[in-house]
Amino acid sequence: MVFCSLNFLYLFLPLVCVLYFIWRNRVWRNTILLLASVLFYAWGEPVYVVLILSATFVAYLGGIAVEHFLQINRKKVARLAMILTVTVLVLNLVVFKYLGFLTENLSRIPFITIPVVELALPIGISFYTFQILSYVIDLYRREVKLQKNFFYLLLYVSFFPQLIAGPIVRYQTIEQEILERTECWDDVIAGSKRFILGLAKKVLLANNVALVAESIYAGSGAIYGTSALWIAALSYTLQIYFDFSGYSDMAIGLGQVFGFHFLENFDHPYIACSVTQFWRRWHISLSTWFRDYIYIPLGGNRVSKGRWLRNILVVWALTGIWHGAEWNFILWGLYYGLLLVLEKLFLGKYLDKLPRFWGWVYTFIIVNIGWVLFNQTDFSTLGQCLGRMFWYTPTDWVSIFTTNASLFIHMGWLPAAFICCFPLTNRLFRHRKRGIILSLVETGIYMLLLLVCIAFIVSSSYNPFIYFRF
Amino acid sequence: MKKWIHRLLPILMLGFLFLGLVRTLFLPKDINYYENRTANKAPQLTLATFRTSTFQNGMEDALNDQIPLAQFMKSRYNQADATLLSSLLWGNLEHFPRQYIKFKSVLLFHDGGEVYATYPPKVLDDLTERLDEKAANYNACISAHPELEFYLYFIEKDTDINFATGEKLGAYVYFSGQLDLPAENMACFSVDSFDAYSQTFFQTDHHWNYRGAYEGYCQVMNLLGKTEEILVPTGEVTLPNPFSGSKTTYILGSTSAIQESLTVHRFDFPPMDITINAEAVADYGNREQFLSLENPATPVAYGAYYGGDEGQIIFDTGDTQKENILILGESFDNAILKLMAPGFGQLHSIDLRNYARQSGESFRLASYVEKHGITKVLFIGNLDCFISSDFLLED
Repeated sequence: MVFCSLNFLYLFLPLVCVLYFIWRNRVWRNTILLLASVLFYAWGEPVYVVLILSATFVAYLGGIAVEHFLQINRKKVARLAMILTVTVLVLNLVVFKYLGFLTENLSRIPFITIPVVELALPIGISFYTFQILSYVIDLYRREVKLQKNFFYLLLYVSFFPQLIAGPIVRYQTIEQEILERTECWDDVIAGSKRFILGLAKKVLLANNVALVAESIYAGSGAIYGTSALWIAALSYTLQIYFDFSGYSDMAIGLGQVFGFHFLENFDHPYIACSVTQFWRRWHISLSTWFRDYIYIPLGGNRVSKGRWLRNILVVWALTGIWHGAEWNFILWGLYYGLLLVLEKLFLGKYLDKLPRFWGWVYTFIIVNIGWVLFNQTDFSTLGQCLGRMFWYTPTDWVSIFTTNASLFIHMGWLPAAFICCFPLTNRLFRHRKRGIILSLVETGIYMLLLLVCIAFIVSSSYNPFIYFRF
Repeated sequence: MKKWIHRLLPILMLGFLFLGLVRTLFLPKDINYYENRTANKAPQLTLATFRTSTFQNGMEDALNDQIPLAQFMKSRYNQADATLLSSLLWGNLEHFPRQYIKFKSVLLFHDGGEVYATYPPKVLDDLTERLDEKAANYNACISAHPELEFYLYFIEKDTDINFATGEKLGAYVYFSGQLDLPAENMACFSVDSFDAYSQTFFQTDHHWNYRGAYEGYCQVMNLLGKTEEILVPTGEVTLPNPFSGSKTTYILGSTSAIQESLTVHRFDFPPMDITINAEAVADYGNREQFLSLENPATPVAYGAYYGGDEGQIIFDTGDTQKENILILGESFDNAILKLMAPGFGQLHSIDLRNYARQSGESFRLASYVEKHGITKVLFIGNLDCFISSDFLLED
């Protein structure tokens, strides 16, 4: 189930809200959320509910073992228990997500005969695995307390707002709130507004610009020249941002309705004036996860230059491969790793001296190119795209129009989407208490926005979600 | 009071969504009039249907049809889409060469003047199996009834020709070659170019217009040996209300963005008794009502003017000296049935898609021709009629 489906909006959400709020009892409310979350996951993939239950159970048992050995001061055994638990969970992820990639690449090596094994990718496995890992590791580091109730741990792992597409919520963020949160009208109102805004980002902006990128990249032949491919790159850049940040907004908004307060996952990444800044604003929950659980344990930047370089490249290769089991994702990760190294070594100093505008231009172009690497899984197509982007070839717009006249209607969304990348629109929609008239007007605007989103959902059959399979 | 006004948004939102759920589960409607089909309803929830995602998909389809304002929202969305396209395109035709322009599942083709919504040309290789099946079905009936004279009239349309290259599908040539009928008993309404198509077909509808229908009528009467019975029009009338046909209504979902006029011929029809599905009626279609130029109660449409796809229509001129004919066709012949009727004693039109449902019994050729004294049988239709299993005949 996805948030922008009619099943979620009309069936799941109203029923869960009613069933949740009719109880005053915290245990009953948590039970409702847990059952709803399991149902939410089972809705799309009934079979893989077993996998998420098993992974959580492994973390539960592992957590108990870690805590037990820490209590009796056997830190090395506790560490071993933690490593074992982490290994099982990571292996689980590797089997379902990367086995096909590994066997396919190994089978290309001469004299090695390995059958290529492809397993269906369970929804959200990358997200919930990283959440579970954060619990186990933080438990070992004594940053969180052991969760003795398996069902509360399962609620943390499977909580439907962030289950299938993040943000990656650390256990420490909501540890207290599982039992001690307070639902209040302010949160319900702010959460509802956030949800509607997120829905609008996804349905109105992301889905429409997506059709531009999809149409141009799906087309072939010489009619798609330099300008078409840059427009496709820009479209995909906007698509992936509104897709993902829209979904994060919906997740954060829904969490807030039920009294949970997740951390922000995006902070207007496309206003960044350097790649370093960009990665402090984009998918913050993932970049901080890698920083805290891979980069810093490897030594971070408090090691020799050679090791520091290795640490950066390892983290960014892993960041790339987390996104997908294809070589282009690794290339994408290393692309950013290299740029970050260059900025840290010398480029950053020059960027700081430049006017912000040029820093922004540099970053925006770098990011657009990065998304082309991210989007094109086939290297020859990738090469062609980049070649035509940087070696001028004319575009036959008339022929493109005749192949798909709708493309030009969807291109009309690009300026609006571009403007919405900037914080100025945020100020308009920031939640604050207003007078009665303004409050009524604001309510009317949000309801209208919701209706428009539903109109688009009902009318359009095109509703993909990029991060759905991560 | 003030605090409840601040709380209005989540309450309204929840209420609106809940209303949609209640409507879908407990007050579903039966017909989706906007999309011209039965409305999807909430499916049964069982372990099996949940495991296979049948329930989930069915529920999404049901909500799509049943939530309040669903059809209104879809129609406004499609209207906006089509309006944007027409404003982009109509004023800039000179920039586009004469080739197909794809918009959703419709192709547009223009001649520098008007834009026509067309269906994509089909590929003969994809159709031969179904054409063979239809030919075998007809041949079985033909051989079982040597006492009857069988005729074929094939109506070509946009699916039968690639307007950009001029290449024809060749379905009539193929199909007529499979039938056990003499060449003089078969004819075709040929579409050999876009210019010919634009003269004889609607811009927004898949049917032939008044010129195409009259030309087809004359060819059919010649085919049937009734040249002397051809009615001559007494004039032409363009109806005041604009018309948006099947392609824009059902495919683009927009009836206001792209419209055209409906021009028709006037005829002086001799008196005849008309029954539709065994009930006597004053007329087939609504010609007189529309021609009286009063604002018609029903919107202008091909079927509204000429008559709909009724299971059984009988035109009885009362002239027992003339033969009785059976027409097995579809919506194209709706425009010419009443014109053909004066050439026969009785003209029976059967639409096999609707006959069983409307009459309560299956259509059987042998019993029908015997009961009604039929001596001629005309198979008439466009390509879709001859490749659809809906039109297979039982003897």
